Amino acid sequence: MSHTVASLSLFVLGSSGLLGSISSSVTVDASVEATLANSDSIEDRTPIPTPSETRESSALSCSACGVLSFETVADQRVHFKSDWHRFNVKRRLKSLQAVSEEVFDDLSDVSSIEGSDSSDNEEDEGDDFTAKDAGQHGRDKSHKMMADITKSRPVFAFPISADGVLPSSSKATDVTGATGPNPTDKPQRDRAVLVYKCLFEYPAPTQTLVERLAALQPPSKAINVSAIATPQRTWTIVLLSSGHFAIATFQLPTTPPSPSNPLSTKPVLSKSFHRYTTRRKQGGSQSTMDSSKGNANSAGAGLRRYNEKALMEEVRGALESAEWKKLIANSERVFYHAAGRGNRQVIFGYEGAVLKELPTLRTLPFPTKRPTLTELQRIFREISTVRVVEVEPAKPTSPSVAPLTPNGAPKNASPDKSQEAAQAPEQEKTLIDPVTQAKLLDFASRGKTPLLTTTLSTLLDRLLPVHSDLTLSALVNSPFKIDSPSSSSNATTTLLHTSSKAAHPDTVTALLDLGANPTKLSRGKTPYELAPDRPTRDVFRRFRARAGEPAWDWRAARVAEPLTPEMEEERDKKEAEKKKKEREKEKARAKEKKEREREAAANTPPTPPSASSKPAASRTILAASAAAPAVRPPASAATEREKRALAAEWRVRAMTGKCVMCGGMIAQGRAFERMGYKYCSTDCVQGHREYIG
Amino acid sequence: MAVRAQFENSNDIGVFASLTNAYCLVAIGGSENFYSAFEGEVGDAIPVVHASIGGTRIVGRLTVGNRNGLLVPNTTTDQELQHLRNSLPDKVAIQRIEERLSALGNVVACNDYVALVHPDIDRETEEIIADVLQVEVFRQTIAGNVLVGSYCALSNRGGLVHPRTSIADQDELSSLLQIPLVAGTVNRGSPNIGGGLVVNDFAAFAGVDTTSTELSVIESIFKLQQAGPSYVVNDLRNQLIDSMT
Repeated sequence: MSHTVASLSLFVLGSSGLLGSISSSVTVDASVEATLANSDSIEDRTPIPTPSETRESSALSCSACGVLSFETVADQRVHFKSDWHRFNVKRRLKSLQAVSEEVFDDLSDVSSIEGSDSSDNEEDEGDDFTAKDAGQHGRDKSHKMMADITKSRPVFAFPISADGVLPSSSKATDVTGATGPNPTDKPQRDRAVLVYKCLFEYPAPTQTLVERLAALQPPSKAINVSAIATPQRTWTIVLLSSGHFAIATFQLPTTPPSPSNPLSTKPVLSKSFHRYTTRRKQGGSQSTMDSSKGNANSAGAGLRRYNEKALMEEVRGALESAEWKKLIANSERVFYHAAGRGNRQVIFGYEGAVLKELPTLRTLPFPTKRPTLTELQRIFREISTVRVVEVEPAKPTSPSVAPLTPNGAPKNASPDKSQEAAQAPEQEKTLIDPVTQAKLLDFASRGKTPLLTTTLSTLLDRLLPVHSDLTLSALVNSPFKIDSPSSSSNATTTLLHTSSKAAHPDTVTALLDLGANPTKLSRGKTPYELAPDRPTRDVFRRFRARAGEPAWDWRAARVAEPLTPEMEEERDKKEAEKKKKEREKEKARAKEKKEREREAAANTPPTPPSASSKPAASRTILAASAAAPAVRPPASAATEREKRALAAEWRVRAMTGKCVMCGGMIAQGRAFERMGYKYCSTDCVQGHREYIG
Repeated sequence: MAVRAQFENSNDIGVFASLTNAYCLVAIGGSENFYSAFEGEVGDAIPVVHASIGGTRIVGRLTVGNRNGLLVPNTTTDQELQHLRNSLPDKVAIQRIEERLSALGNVVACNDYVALVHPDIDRETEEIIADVLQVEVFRQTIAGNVLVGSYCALSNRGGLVHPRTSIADQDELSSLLQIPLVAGTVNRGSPNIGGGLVVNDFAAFAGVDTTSTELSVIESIFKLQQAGPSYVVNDLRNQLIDSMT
């Protein structure tokens, strides 16, 4: 277990002598980090003394935060304006328990206080170490796993010899105000200094890391005399999230900070502003919303859209202003955090952006709160803090390293294939150079079978003189490093995985024939599991049938039952039958439909339906009134004269209180009325409607 | 002196009027009775202005102000804004606010020195309130209600808060605001203090339904009393003695 012994300012390393005790011989990356078991030490916070629980009955209190008696009204007022209090007020409204100040400080998302619940803080994957820390408490896991996790942490660990000069903890704590456990209480153990990686220069110069760390120190006294003329060393921090923008330039101390001369976080220049751009309650920015669901038309949406534009102009205006341009250009490091594409677009997405392709630009490797000046100051303090941790003495790593000869070749008859696959020798990685690896993977993913096989065989020819017992199958099975940026650094794949995932049955068959091991795992999946479609999966099953059960541990390969030619034939037959049936069914359905249509056409006579169902009386009247007795042409077709005659007849009927359609008597209060006409029955209503169109 | 008034048969006069130490806004009403009540009581000290906000008469709920300024919501038309500028004293700053919570009278309660605001109010609005009204702004709730403007009435001398405000909360608020507070009702038991009561340092108007008990509480907490012991001792005695001589 390792934990923070002390945390101190980066700038005291030189003066405290700690820098000298850092053993420069040790390579920083792998071996030390493997021993850094408990990375939550990084996040160690100093416990703030809790206010006494005794609550005085005086009104100088805060019931929302459930604590406190304030000294003065001014203190109380300051508290009532604090984010912590606001947060608790909102919690109280939801009938939630008040949170203590320490807990609140740990909450990275304070934006909810303001009502903007959105926090699209997507951290860059490699940088997000708090999330990883959270899942890292299972300390009994294997050493290797821990090494894996610590590998992606944003710090370099510089081991210091156990007898190294460590500033007395009291001194260290004075500098930063942090209190670590007193190291003298414990037996001396290995210690390491953790420094943020982002502080170092990227295109690794020839200097060692230790030298570069030393370069970050304030100049020593001797140089200091002449250093008056040298330009100030400054760091600039830029934050942009959810409508808030903050930028500040901090001057690095010229002398190591000491208790009497603490690290100044007063910025050389700072600027921050805010615009209302996030969608309250729903979350997210307006532009994201617009692009996903189309423009909303509400007043708020318009306001936010306008504000987004205005914010973009303001931010760019600020960055492009002469003074900031100069400060940024002169800064030794520029740190930024702009979560989300939209925010990055604001900062980088324009012609000649100041921050674009800036060699000194770094992302911040930890979560940040709402961009404000105080947050910038906190970041400056945090990033310039190094932590001394105690680490577990390194255990002997992994059972004695296997000899450099590859032994992953499946001996086709041997039954313990899976075991062999499990201890796939790491050394194989070194056999195939990265360029060839990339080439092979590319062929496999594009399904270039002949190219793949020829490349493999030429490679084998080339390697055979060196490794006499190398076989083609060993080459095929060698693990390939996945070098996509998103993957954790040591995930491997095989050619079989790649081709199976890309759904190239031919390539898969060829590889299996070459002796590719289907039981190997890439990110916990076998090649069969990665196959996205049936033809590719069938290839595996066919091979299983062909090669036989003992060839591989098919259960470990998670391949479905073997697919013999007979089975395939049967399956094809079944499928064909099914298809045929379906087709017949479809035909029958079409036929039926046609039939029905024809029937319907036959059933509907060209006359209005009322004509046939009319009572006898109406028929006689119709016969009297129109020339055609049975088949009455529709009203539109009737001649003008007929229409007029008919209308006259209706009028007469209407006046005499008879049914307009059939002329029958209408019982008192039983009339059906439509458009001023009266009818004796619904049939008449219908019939008349057809008439008058 | 606390006076009873009503606006077109409604007791919620706080909806239709807004009263500060520098000016008084009243809604444009059907009759002049309401206006006259204000004009008669405070007209000789401060201007009483007919106003509408965004074409509505609920000026008391949509606006908030004090001696130093007046904040109006974004629904206010340019014409209305111009009218307000013309009618109010020059030292009163007028500002239109782009705030989602546009019923400013409901979300802000203030006197000339402090303001309580809705916890969800925009940060920019908070700054504008602090600048224009020249107050310290606190995000608060009153008896668990976010609508602080609806459930309390403040002046520089005292404040009336929602009847369900706990004693502890009252103490806390009172120390925060530095004025005495009392929990009470208006309009015969209504907790909508902001709706039923408008008050400044020298006058208060309550709905006609307000009982005399409620009125006496109002007069005593806002120090408007002329019926209290001191009044009897000083003013009344003077009058009596005057008349006897």
